[in-house]
Amino acid sequence: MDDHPGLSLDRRLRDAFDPDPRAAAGVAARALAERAARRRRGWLRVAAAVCPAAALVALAVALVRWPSAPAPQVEPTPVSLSGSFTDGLLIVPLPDGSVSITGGDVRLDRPQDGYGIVLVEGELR
Amino acid sequence: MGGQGSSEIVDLEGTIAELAPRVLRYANARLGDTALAEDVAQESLAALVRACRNGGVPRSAEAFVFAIARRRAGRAAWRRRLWAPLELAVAARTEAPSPEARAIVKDEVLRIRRALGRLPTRDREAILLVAVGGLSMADAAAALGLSISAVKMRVSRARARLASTLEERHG
Repeated sequence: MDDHPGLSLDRRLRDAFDPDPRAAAGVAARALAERAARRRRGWLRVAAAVCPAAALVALAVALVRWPSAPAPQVEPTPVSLSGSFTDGLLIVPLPDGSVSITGGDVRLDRPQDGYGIVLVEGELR
Repeated sequence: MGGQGSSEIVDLEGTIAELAPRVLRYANARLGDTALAEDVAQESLAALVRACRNGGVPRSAEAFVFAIARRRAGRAAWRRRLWAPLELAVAARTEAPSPEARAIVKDEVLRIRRALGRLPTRDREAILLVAVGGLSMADAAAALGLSISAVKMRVSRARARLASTLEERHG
């Protein structure tokens, strides 16, 4: 160490806080022996860092892919429904219990009243 | 004293044995608590062991260990301040230190601790690393993230103030 005027002061400071040599030896021994335990904890730390990162990546991929995914294709199935015309309105009871009422404006090619078989093609909602 | 190059840390056990009392002394001066100081010293030295085993040998083992010790001592001091009210409450319910125990506490240590407490934090950090930890100016500069001239200035200022404070109290 450099020689300086504060040498005695430095020595005084060192002496004041001088540790027990046995404590220092113990600290050194424990520091050298702690390696294995620390390595195991190191794996935990890596796992703790990787898991949230993987979850974030999965979430990001899902958010990107979900909107761009094509809508599920529903194959149309021919369904025969019985309906009736009443005052120009086509009234068709649907299989799910609801009733579809369409029309309203009177069209010349549509009968004003009557019953019949209606063929519907398309998606049934 | 001075920084050890990476090729010099061949004898890891020897380096740890040499650094242990110095870093323990530094932590003791920073914290004033033997058990806490031992934890800080051990963690800092264990970090060096890990770094060496993993191949990431630091350029200066001393600067590396003391930089970690400094950070950990700071955190330990902060945590202790946080728990201090609880510890005081528990201590109040347990027995007070015996007259013998009080007599063991050296007057000199108390005087120096008070004098150190009067220093600005930055100057205290520098003098503790250099005088108590035994770091070279270059290693202290690396541990503090400062230039060597800045460390020299802080150490010199701290020495002057410490000397004057200790003289005042002595006289």
